[in-house]
Amino acid sequence: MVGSFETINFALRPTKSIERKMIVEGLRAVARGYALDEYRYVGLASPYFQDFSLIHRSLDLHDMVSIEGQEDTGARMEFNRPFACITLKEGMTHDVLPQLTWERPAIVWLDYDDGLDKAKLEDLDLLLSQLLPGSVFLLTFSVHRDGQAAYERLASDIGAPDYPVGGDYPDVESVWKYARAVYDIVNERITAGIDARNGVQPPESHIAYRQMYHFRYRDSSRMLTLGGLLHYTSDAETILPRCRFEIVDELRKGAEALEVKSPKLTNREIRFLDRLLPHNETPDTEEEGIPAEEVEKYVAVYRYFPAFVEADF
Amino acid sequence: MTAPAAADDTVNADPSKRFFIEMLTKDVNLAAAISDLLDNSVDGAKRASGPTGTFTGKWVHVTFSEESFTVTDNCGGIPLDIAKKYAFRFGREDTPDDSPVPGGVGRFGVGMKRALFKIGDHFLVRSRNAGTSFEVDVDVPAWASHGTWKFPLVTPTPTPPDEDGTTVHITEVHPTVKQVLGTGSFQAQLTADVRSKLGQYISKGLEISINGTPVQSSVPLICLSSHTKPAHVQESIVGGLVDLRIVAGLAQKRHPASAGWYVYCNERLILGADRTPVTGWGDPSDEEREVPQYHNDFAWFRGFVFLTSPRPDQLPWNTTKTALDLDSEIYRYIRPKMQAIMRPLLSELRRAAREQASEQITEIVTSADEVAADSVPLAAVAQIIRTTRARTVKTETNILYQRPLTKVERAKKSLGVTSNRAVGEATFEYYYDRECGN
Repeated sequence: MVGSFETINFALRPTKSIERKMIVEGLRAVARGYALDEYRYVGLASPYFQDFSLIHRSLDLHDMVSIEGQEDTGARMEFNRPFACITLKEGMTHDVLPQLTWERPAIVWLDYDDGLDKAKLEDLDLLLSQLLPGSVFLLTFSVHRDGQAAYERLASDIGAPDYPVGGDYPDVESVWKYARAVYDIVNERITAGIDARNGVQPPESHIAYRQMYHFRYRDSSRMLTLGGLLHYTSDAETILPRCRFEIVDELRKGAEALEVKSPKLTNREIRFLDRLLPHNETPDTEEEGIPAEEVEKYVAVYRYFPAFVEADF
Repeated sequence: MTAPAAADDTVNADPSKRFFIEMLTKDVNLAAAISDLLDNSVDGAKRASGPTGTFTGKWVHVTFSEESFTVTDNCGGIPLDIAKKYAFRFGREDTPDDSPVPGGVGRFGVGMKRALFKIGDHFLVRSRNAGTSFEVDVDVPAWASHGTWKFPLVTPTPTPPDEDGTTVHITEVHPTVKQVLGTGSFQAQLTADVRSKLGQYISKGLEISINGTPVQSSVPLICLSSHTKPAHVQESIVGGLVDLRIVAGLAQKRHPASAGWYVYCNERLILGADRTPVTGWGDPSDEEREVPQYHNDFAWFRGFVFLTSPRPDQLPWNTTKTALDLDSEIYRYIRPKMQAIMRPLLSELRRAAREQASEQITEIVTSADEVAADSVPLAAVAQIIRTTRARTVKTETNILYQRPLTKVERAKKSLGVTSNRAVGEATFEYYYDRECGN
């Protein structure tokens, strides 16, 4: 599978960039309750290493592991490694994840290029079985399929005929129905994994999952990100209130996703709008001629949107 | 059998003996039933062994022919009051007297009964314990035809020099069983079966013989050296009631039929050489090859799961002790862990196969020590350390240098080329042809 970094210049994916910053915002909330600075970060990298850069800069994590599945990219990845604290591992997540040891909680973002399949569900099983409470995990999948054939293919990819594939989802836009089916499957697997782990532990060691992230966005294809915090059940009363997840607008607890859209505006328009924000109502820009729907999109993401050209060095 | 029409509004749900016997014995294969019977002797030996935990001096002799089947042991026998109240009941009472032997393998209270009914139509159970002894002699068809669920019991005076122990003697062997007992290979099969299932007890001193031939002990072994380090994780689960230990690595012999996962409950082998999705392998019908379906490249793989508990009812075995209870919480807990431990090993074996380097693995395992699996050091991840062979042989290399611009431009004109690279190539060839020749 050709790495998507070879077909798209990653620096030019604005929606992804916005999502990334929203994810960090969520992690800052976690840091209000947990000692995030001691965590390990595990991610799938491209030579652009953007998530690693952002996370190291924003959260000062010093133990970072990058997994690259494409063979013979070792030299290029090493050349592009942005910071000294990143260890590079070559191999598919399926092979590399079992080789990691989990002595401290971790943030794990498995930003897959492609769609859900059995091996990825097993990656998830591993995370659910090994991650320490306080850890955060995220999974990103391509969900660029629709139609009945897509559901049949999904059922055969994940190998289980009893998964709720092809639900009706009347409230979901038709292009995103498939994404919702994938969400349901992954969520069920998370529940099953947590039950399996709790089944043999006494109540004081039981863990729970608090969903934080549920994003949909499009770059060249439709993508889905979901994930959240694994915590001791007892943390719900003691630690989670300190995190104050409720003040981070971009987090989603349930099946309703946040669709991340990147507005198309000129720099001048951006600076104009910034002066009117934050504001309870969407600014009226009829006089300036800026399309209302772009303004709406901008208002939703303005804090995460670059105000000038950003360069990654 | 039907009850006479009653005046009250109940229905007859009385169990029929024939039905019961059939349910008990159906779908249980003979070897499994016999091993289950032997588990009783093992439990007796455990009860008698006390704190030392060895079985030295205890023996179990199995003898059979087409006419009869006999198991004799000196493993402590069944106390008379237990015999009267519990030993012949179908299933266990929920009382302290009838609870499973701590750390034992008897669990469902059916092993002996199942074997008795499975094998023949006439059985005799004789036992002696702490000065008491009893004898139960039953003609099954006769018993099945009358109403009560009791067996007649007599208590002869024990005569020395018998030791405390039990004899089970079955005659009027069922025709189908007779056929099996008569085949030449049955003894070998049964020996192999008993050896794999009860081999750990034999290694602790219990003597088991079949038709006079002793059964060898069997202890799970794994390779250990500086080049192959098994994974070994240990955890206490179910509130400290169950000890879980997982060990995975390479075996010394590349034997495909022995490869896979072995699961022991209280040292009794439940699942041997498993290479199915039950223990985390890929489904052969799957097209997705990322999940490792068993393949002979993996023939060195051995994984062991040891589950130990003073409470056998907590362990995830099925009623015939031939498989894991897939609904059990312990099973659901260990399966992803087994998969995670297995994958790095399989990746490395697969990589070696792709590099045509399987003989490196052979070398590693032959020069390693084969040790008891539970004796290897604790390690979260298994390692196979070998030199990876490069798959491509480099045939070309770069030469990189700087030269003054003016000189390079002059050389370009002189050579009739336009790029720096062409200058480099041409000048190299110029020299090589003249000085290094062909």
